[in-house]
Amino acid sequence: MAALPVFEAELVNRRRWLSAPDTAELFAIAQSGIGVIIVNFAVLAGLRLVGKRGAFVAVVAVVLPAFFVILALAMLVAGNWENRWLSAALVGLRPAVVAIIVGAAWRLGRANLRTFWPILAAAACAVLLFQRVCSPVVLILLGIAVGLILHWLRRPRPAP
Amino acid sequence: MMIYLQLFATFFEISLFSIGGGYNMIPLMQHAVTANGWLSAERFLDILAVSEITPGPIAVNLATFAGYHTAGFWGAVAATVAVCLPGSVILLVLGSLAFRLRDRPAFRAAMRGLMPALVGLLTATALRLATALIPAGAHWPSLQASVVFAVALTLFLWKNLHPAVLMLGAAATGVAWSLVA
Repeated sequence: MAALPVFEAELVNRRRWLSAPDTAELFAIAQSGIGVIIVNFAVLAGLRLVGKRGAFVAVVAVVLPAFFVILALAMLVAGNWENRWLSAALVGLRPAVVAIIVGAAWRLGRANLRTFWPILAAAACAVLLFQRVCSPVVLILLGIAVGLILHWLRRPRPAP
Repeated sequence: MMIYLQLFATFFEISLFSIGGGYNMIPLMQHAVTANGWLSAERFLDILAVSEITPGPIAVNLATFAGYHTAGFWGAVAATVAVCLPGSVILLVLGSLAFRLRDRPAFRAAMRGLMPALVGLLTATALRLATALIPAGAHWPSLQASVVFAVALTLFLWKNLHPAVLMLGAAATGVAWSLVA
């Protein structure tokens, strides 16, 4: 994502609040968390600099601009989905959005699935969700469980 | 009142189970909003397009937009707050433990197990959304849609073009097409 350079420019170079390695570390932890990465980063940076109040202020500040911009756009398009120009633009936009999701899946797969079994597992998950056999949450929990079970099975046992 | 609670609970759950951020939240969101009958697949694509063009975290953009579309201003508030809560609360509770957890072998093993699921979910969601491109009564998306898809995918994967730039190009293509036709 393109967020890390922006945070670095502001927090490291301009404000001198954090060092570059610290920023990178906080970002890495934010990224392996759940939910919204940028919100996680705001929590960690706020905690590091001020404490709990800092975390709260940072989260509100990082969410509000996006909230109001989208709110304004959503109000603008709410009654106008059939507008001539908007619907013309959307005809072009929809296939491009699908392309970006396909591209994201391809990139994630190329970076993380290198052997036969993980690729087969990914294909199976795709079929199970597409055919509405499982919900995404079930498949996510299943993935985590399989990862942990394999980890414990492969762990070298201490000699008796 | 019911609808706000429902939005809150749904987006809280989406956020709780979306790990690693970025596009990983999209399958959960698509599944939830269609299962609840809040958005059609086509309208979800529209909202996703606007969220890609607009700056700000895409998960927040999607939550705000879907919340507003479903239940107006307070719907947007409920969905946005809910999507931000799980991650921040966990980090606040764990504190410095979060820094050590990430280096545990078990944590990395869980992430490795998760990867095939995430790739599969994204693939299925792309297929599901692609079916929304097929016009009623047809078996295949229009030639125009297929061309935009192929060009966008090529530029995204091989030229590393930013999604927002791609979106603006695609919107311009759509408008130009309507003027010609």
